[in-house]
Amino acid sequence: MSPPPGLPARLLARLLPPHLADSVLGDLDELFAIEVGAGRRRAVFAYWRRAIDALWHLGGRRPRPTPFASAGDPPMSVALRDFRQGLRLFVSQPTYAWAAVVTLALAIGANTLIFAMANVLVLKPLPLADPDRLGWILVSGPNAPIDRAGVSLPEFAAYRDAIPAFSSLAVRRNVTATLRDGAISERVDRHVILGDMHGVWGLQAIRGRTLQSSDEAADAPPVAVLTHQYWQRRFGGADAAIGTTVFLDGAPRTIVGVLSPETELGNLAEIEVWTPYQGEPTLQPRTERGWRPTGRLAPGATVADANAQVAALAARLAAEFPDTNRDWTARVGTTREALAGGNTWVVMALLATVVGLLLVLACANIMNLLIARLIGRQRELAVRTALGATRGRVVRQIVAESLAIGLAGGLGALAIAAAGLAGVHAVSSEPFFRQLAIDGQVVAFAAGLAFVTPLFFSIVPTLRLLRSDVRGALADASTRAIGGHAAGRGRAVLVVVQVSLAVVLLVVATLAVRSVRAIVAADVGYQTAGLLSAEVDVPAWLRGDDAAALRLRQDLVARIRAVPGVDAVTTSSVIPSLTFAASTTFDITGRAPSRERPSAGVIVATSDLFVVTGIPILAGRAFERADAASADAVAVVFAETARRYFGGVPQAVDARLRIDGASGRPPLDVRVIGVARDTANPDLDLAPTPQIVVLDEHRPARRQYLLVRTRAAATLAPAIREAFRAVDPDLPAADLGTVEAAFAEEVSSSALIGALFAAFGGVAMLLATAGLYGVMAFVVSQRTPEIAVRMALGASRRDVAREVVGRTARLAGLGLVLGLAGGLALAQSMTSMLYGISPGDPLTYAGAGVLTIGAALVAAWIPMRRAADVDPIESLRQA
Amino acid sequence: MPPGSALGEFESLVVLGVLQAGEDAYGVPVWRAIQERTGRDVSLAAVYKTLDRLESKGLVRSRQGEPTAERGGRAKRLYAVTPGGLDAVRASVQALTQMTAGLDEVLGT
Repeated sequence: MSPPPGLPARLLARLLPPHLADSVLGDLDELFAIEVGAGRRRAVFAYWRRAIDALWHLGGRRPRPTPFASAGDPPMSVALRDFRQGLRLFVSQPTYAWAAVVTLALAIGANTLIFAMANVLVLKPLPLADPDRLGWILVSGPNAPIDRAGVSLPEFAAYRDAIPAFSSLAVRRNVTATLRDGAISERVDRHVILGDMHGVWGLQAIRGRTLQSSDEAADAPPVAVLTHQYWQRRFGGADAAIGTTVFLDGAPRTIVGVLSPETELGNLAEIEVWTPYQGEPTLQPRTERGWRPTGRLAPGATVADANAQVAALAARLAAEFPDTNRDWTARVGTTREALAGGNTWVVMALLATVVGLLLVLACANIMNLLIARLIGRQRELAVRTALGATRGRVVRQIVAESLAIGLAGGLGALAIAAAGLAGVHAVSSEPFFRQLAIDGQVVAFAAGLAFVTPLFFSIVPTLRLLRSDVRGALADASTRAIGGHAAGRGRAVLVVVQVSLAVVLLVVATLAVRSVRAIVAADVGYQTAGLLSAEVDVPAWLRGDDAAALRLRQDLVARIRAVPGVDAVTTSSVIPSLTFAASTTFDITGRAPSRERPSAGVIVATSDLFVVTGIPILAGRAFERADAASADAVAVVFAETARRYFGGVPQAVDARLRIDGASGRPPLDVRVIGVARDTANPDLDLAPTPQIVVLDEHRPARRQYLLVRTRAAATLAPAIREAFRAVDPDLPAADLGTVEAAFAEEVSSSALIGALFAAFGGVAMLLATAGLYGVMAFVVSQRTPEIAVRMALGASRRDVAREVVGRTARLAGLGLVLGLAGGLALAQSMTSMLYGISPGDPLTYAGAGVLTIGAALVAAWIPMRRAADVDPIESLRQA
Repeated sequence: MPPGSALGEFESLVVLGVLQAGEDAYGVPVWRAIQERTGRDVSLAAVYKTLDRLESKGLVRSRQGEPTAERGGRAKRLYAVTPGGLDAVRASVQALTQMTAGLDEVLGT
């Protein structure tokens, strides 16, 4: 005869109450024996169904106390039995178990997600050799984001020779280049380095060699080193790539090595090719500040030493070269500061604090559930103790149950963290976020929390249980040994903690979310919708002289203007509010030259710039096509230029300016014909800076963007690419896309951070409400007989409600005050990451307070109503 | 038995099922009696759960039967209705009968 399935039988044998197990199993066997004649598969299915059904209805119910392990049992079997007992909780008290698991999974999941970020940012070993001995020169200046500007090559030469705290100093510059290998030509991100950067950083090659100082000699053969990812992508990881010659910007270079993959960290992840700089640095223009310096500290020197020397030298350069260096400062930052902006650390610390508080909140909730459960089981526990179970055994069982919850919560947390990471990857393509993954360390972290938190939330109730009077509990079931005064105080503390944590988390989350909304919705001052952009970079190797490069751009603009669906088109050296214009000094004709020469960001564009962008003209007029053809150069200034240097918008019209030439070119005399409304500073935290627009025909610029106004943004890409190809096959339409998408990409990390805070705030609110409801439901259920007596004696529902809800309201009020104070303190540390909202924003605090108190009152009101609806007679009889 | 604690409908069915099954009243026959006579899809576990509850109320009692080979050597738990259980189910049935008297036309029985 075919035997019945073994697994469900074994499960049932363990989990059914002993007095029923045999009989039920026998019945299942009997039915199986009958049904197996009609087909084994059906019979097995029916057996499983009945077994699950039996588990559901009968499993875990233990009307007769199960025997306890005696001292003679081997410890391992005791531990196993404890754990099994713990798992049984999911059958016997599914509501409690799953509520605790879900709570814990949410909280540990949030912590795991943030740990995954911290792991990449802080804990992963840096690919740099001895990163603590590196100093990073961080430069700030007019019209440049703080700490994020670089140095010019002549400045580098000065730093290299005059900072004794650095034993060596190197610079790198990120530029795009066109790499041609055979017939395929593509745009690559290139790092140009000078001063043996690979040596300073201590980078390793996995094939060939790294770049050396000898490669920087003017007569050295031109070489290049590939990054691991580019080597894999373009050369399929073939060893043959070493020694081949490729054309970078039209010039041949020999590939001499491949860097090891660990180098691809943070912003370095996007680099594809490294090449040495082979020119003479002191002869380069002082205005080209794209070079980022890193120094290795000399033995005995500290970052502070280097910082003092660098700051002093920057001040000296500012005095010596006021035209180019006035208001430019420099300091030395640590590797941490350099790899991630100051705000990154604020945000990480804040996120870590928020998820930490979330975990505390979750533990408070589960602790309350556990206390309620223990009081419900007090009589059972008392019986067990009376029958000879030691208190240690009982406590161990509670801890085992908590560990089972922790284990399940940890598994859920990993699922939640994985889902969160999938969301993060979907929102942002930033290299930092792309590196986030659930690796061994992250799993270990979640497992650690899953193990530690159960100890945390079970310890207080357990200790209380140990102190409680078991004999008293046995003698009189209504004595509440762990539900007495002390427990009342404990629950009061829980209410206060829950409310205050909820308020803190809501305040922080609201500030972050509103700040991010302000960033995302910031009005940049012109119409970005319906605007396409692409890079138009015409390097010297492509067109030798400026006139030829200008003709190429004009040809391109003419071709694109002819594409159906294009309303207007221009080239421009900046995408307004997204990229910075190069700061340039100028003189105002007719004004005595002062020591403080005026400066402004100079934008180079075609006469259609204002037509394409729709930036309004406040005074005078916009460019006309005839202006480009005229030999008399004209300019449109932005309102901030007019206000700062001419005392007002109308006064600037007709002024004459002499703008310094870039890179050794002659200065340009222009007449101001109009004043345009300011556009937002690309660094949204800063006010608009002075800007001047001149025409490409008068002061050509090599690196520009194409801006296309269209109502058919979605379908134009192929036609635009075709136009680029038609103009020159070596001119790729790099970064072609909508300006809106470019802005979205720019704020994607902010949006992501905002979404994280919003999610954590939502979870906090949910946990706090559920937790308060749990506390109140329990308090009211404990007091139901008392409430019934009062009502039987004539108290109105109102009186009772006022008494119970009033107590909660007082506790919630205390929690609110503590929470607001905590929120205010935490918000101060957020100041640097907030945009468009102050850390003390009253609406935020009022909202958080009202929401939390509302939730607390609802949480108190529902159980209260239920209690008041109870028939007093019935309730008294049960009591 | 205190007044007001009349048997629930399913409880009545289970008590009647035990009576129908006679001497050999363990899980399967009781379950089968309800299943076949009412035409309802009833789960074996629900029957056991109800029997357990009825036993704790003192309406049925049970004893361990002898182990038999066709049940994998497992013992049956044999149930019998107590006098109290008989009273309770009688009251339930009577209440139902009295309430339906004269309603043949409406109920179509």
